Amino acid sequence: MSPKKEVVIIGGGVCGCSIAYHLAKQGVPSQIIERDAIASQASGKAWAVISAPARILLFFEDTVVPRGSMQPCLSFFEEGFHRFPQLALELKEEGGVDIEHGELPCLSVIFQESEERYLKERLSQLANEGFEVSWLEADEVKARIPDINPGVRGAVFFPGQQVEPYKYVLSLFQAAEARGASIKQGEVVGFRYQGSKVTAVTLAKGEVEADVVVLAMGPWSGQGTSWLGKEIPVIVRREQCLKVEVPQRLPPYRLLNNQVAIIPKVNGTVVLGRTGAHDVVHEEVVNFDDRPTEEAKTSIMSAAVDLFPKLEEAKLVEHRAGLEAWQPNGGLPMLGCLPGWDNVYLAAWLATWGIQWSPAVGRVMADLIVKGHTEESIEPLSPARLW
Amino acid sequence: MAEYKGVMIYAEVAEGKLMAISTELLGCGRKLADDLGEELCAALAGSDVSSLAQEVIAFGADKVYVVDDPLLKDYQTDPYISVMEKVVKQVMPQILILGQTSIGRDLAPRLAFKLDTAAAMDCLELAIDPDSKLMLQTKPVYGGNAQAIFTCESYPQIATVRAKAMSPLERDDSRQGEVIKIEAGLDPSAIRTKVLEKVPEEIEGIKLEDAEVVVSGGRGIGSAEGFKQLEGLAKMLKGAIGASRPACDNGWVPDLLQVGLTGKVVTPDLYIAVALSGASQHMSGCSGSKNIIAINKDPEANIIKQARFAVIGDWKKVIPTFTSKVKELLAG
Repeated sequence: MSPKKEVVIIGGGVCGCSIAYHLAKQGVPSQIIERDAIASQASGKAWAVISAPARILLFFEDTVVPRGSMQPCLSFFEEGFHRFPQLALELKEEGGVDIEHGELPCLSVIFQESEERYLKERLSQLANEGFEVSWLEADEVKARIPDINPGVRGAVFFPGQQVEPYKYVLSLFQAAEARGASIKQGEVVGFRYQGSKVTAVTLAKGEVEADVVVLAMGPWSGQGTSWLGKEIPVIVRREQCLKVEVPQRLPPYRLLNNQVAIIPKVNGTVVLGRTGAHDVVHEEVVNFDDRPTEEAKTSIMSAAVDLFPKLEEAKLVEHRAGLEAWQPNGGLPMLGCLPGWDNVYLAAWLATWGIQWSPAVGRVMADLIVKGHTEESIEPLSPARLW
Repeated sequence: MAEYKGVMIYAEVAEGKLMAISTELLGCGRKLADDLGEELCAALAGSDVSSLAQEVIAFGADKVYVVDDPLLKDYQTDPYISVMEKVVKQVMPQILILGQTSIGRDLAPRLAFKLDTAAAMDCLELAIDPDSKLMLQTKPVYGGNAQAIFTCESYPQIATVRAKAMSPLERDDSRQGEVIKIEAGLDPSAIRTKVLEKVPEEIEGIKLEDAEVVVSGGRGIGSAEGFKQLEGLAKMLKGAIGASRPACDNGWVPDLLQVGLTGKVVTPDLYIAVALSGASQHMSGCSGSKNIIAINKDPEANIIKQARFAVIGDWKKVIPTFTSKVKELLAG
């Protein structure tokens, strides 16, 4: 494409901002249209942990989706995992914000014998396939986390990392801005088009001319695509977490069981999130209702205290809820051109992995827009698979 | 319920003076009492506070219940709860309102628990439902994006009211009222905490939450140096500096200055929003301001819609002109 073209990205969350950043790195400035503010929804409220890919194979595949079904995007987990350390340095330089990146290994702890047997078997398979995972016996877990619930039977150990989600997205955008990107506050209400080309994005007030349009609308992707006659189904889930302050720093591990995740952040606060019996049991389809609930607060807090009794001393400072956008059956994202349109690109269904996938999603979408193709095949993720 | 009657406000005192919130509560309570055709009374507790009773009457109370006891010198939860429980049980008002202050926030839920009723916190508006005669309690929900109206079906109906949400009546020293003393009857050994020393918080200039003028900067300010320019204006207006989240996360100002859902909630008379877009999370921290002036180059920015006055332009050009005009007016 010629460099003069106006790329308009709808949505200023982690997805839109990463695309803007990767476009800017290729010399293409873009304009983000955002209804509220950068990362004002789920992107700024996430746990913001980056997992070793094996964690998804062990705790999402098999239990929630069929084994092998995440294969087409396994490289996205890997790319996030490998790029974040460098990205954090780049963003500090180019975006001006320290995104509070840090190593945060993960311990998935087990309390039941049946679970232990299953996991040990699956672990050895994964180890044979070359994944970096290991099993820690109860005494090894207690040596690392002396104050853990003493009933622990063992834990799966994965390498991991974390960032501060709002600062990450802000820095992505500011790094893009430094290379010519911009943001406009406005509510998109539709499109103007000629034939199979969108020519402008219509706002509640005024419009923005566009040569290329990117839909990065998260939970609102269904509405965005419906204006173009290609509505995609979206399962909207509300995820909630608590931020607490603790008198003493916790050991530097993400600690989780099948109910709760305890995430000590770089700044010393601790985020407590719901894991659910492997993620989807707590699915809440809630019509864009992102209010935190008392029920969640109580269940998260009591599960956290059960896992790590010292959290009884924790002081609640924030209870936040954000909306995730999921594919109706499974966990794969949707990336590519919107069928029937020459210049509309879609990035949707980033599920609960928006932060982890964002380096890959930004790179892939920027390549697709600028070069017309990507290094790897993203055919299995293409919107065309729906029609 | 027949025995619960009248409206009571909790008159808060600081440094021997009636606080502004108390006069606001009296203004609001007066209206509720008149709508019910009942009396407005006030509970005044403290040490050496009896002399303030006439002032409470001048601002609208019919009766003042005074509990004056040396043990009430400094606010502590134990003795104040005990005293307020006693006063409320004796007077049996159908409505009790307190300020949404650190004291009101401490007292209201505890009192509600002790009296087996409920408390609505942080109300913006109180009224009497003409049919049920219950108090309609309006409070912000969804982070300030909407307001909901609650009623309470047990007595007394307890509410706390946000500062500056209500207007006081004109002080009228000719008003007549009754002053009734109530013994505190406190057992010093039942007070589990002791005030050893008071240490004033050291803050340069005016505290953000207390300031009548706040000059707030957003991402558009672009640097710590930019904020220095805002400080000049804030100082001139005897105001404080605030900031949006991106300005804090960029490290231009300390996190303590953040206004919004995850920062401070401010309700100044004047909120000058400079180069900030007015994201919903920011607005929930400043939408209670009496007047918002927005300075922004984007005419479509949300803050422009929320503002009473708006200047569309680059703040770097607007602020120096604005500041020198303010200086000129102040000098004149």
